[in-house]
Amino acid sequence: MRVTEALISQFINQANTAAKSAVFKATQKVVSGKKLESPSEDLVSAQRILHLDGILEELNHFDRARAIVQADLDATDTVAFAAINTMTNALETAVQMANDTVNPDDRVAEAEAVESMREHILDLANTKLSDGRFLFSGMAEDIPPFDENGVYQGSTDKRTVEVMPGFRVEQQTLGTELFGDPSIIKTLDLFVTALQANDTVTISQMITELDDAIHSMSLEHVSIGGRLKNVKETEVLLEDLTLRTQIQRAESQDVDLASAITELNTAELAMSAAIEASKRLIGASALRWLS
Amino acid sequence: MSSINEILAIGKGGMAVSKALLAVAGKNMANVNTPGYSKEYLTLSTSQFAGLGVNVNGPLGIRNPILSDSLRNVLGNQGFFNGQLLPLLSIEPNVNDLDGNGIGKALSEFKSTMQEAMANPGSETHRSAIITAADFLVQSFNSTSKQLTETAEKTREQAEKVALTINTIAQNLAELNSKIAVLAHGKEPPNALLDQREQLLQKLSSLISIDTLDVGDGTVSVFIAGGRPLVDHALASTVTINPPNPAPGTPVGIEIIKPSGQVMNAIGKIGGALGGMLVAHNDVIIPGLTDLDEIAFELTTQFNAIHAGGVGTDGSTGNNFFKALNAVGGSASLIALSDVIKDDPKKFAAAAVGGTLPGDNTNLELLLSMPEQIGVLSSGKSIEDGWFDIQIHFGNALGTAQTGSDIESATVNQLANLLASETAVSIDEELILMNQANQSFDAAGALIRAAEEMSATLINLVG
Repeated sequence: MRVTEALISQFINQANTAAKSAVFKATQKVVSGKKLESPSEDLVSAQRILHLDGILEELNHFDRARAIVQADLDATDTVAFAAINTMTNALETAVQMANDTVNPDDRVAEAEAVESMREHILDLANTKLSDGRFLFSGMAEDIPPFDENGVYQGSTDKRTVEVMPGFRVEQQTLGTELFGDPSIIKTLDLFVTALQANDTVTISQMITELDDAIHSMSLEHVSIGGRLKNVKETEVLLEDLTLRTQIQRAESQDVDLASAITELNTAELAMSAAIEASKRLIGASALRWLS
Repeated sequence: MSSINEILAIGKGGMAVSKALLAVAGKNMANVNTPGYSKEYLTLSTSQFAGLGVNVNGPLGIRNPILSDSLRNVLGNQGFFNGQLLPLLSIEPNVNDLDGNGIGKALSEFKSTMQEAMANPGSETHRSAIITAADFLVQSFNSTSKQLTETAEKTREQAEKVALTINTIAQNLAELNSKIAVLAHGKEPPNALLDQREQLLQKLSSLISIDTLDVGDGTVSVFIAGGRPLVDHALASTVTINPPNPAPGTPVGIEIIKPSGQVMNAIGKIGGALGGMLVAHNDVIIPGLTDLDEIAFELTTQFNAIHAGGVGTDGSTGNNFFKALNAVGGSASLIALSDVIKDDPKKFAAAAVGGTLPGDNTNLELLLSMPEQIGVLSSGKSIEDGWFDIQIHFGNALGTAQTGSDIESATVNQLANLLASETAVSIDEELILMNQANQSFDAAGALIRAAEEMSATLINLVG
């Protein structure tokens, strides 16, 4: 092969460009921490990353909705617990007041306490969340579920929300489901009236009615707790799925820094070698001894 | 047996050849860095006439038509991929979700706000967030469409400039053909003109793929686009982009106008930078824009259909979420939120007709799943998959162009190196030649001196 001056300069240019390009690419990887930054660099990996991005975004969407559902169910659980406690107090009062040894004045006095329990239950039933929604109105969450007489005026429709792909949860508990239909407010009204009237027969019947109401509320409480537990488990599952997907994504896009730095060192070494070899090639001329 | 005069003539001839060799070596060394210069050489042969020394032919230039032809072919391929690179590289940031921007991210954020509102559809805060995200989505469509349209337009304008350069080169080639034809049968071949022509052919082939034909009279005919004549002897055709000043989104081609005025269309591969630009314009950017328009149109139409069937928290129904679009073409640039929605979040129809306001999310659920709904687009795919395909469409085109450019560049380098090895100047060779010329000049001088001495001896014998 004839080694002409044009060949030498072209060759040095090509070697230098290739070496610099390799150093640039390796530096870019180290600086960005990414194996690829656009689909054109590696279509197959890009498709995989975009697909994983889609999954991550979907999981994030679900998690956002899950957080609201969980907060609502938490509030519902707390209210149910408080309501059952109040009703248990009312039941204890009924048991005490049904006793023949209690005098009528004590029953009248106790009526006030039960009345205050009734107001508490009404307040709990009309619980309003910080964003202004009524907790037990079903879909008609802008109106109080119960009127002053304890009559339910909310919606009979409940909202369900998908909190994980394919897993839907009832976000809402209707007022009628927890507080009965007719509501326990009406039962408490009857209890107050019976106490004021010293009606021991009705007071005795109240024991059964209150006991049934507590039983029914407890069953609903269990249902709420079950849903809350499921949603909390969903949170863990979503976190786990997100983490696994992020790991898969990182494998496809994130650079292994140790190998990237090694690659950079190798590229720099190759560039130094190319420069040194070029110097020798330029110097290897008959010009020195023939001129 | 040679006479003294013949010996003197041989010595004189030897000195003339040495001078000619020195002159060629000097010219070669002076042009060592001249682009496209082919090393010149002399051919020496023993004179047919006994005792007359050496014959000289030349100078001739070293040429390799096969390598030159191969290089031009590969330059055409390299130009083809490079012609696609610039427009596609400028588009990529707009169709790349990997960088955390773009329509895909905006669509995802839009869905996120709707998903969050699923658990609280009556909330004005959530409704406002949906509208803000939707506004960002339509702006993403608008800006991506604008970028694609502008790049298509700039690519077409650039193709027009390349066509003008092709025409200038074709004209220069025709003129060179004319000069070379005159000098071709002279004593010395027109090496400088031949070098110039080869350089122009290489430059031309990087702009448009060419086939050449050495006609035999010293001229070279150039054919493009499947055999259409660009240069024929001293005549040059012109290339134009057709149609001139087209509406945005219109595919363009080339027309070849012969000196007679006859207009011809391309019947084969155009190639080179011009071919690459036309492929980027016609086969990548415009289809991408068309697909984007379809996505924007179907998103608007289908989303509106579901939305109009729902109820806002103010009880209103039948409202469009996006401004209605009349045709697919231009939809990505025209997509916008309807004024009624933009002005009043209460009109966002999360609830179904007959449902219980404001907590009903049944219509919102349909709206949320709409971008994933298969069969919405003519390809049978969903809005989300359609956008994914657009990213892959551009990524694939750019990746192919980059890979092609890298491969062809390597081949160009290889062929250019082979050509440089064969036809370019080696200073070492020229220095050696210079020394040879110097020594043969001294030897010829010595011969003349010896002949003169012999001649003097003979004269003395006579005297």
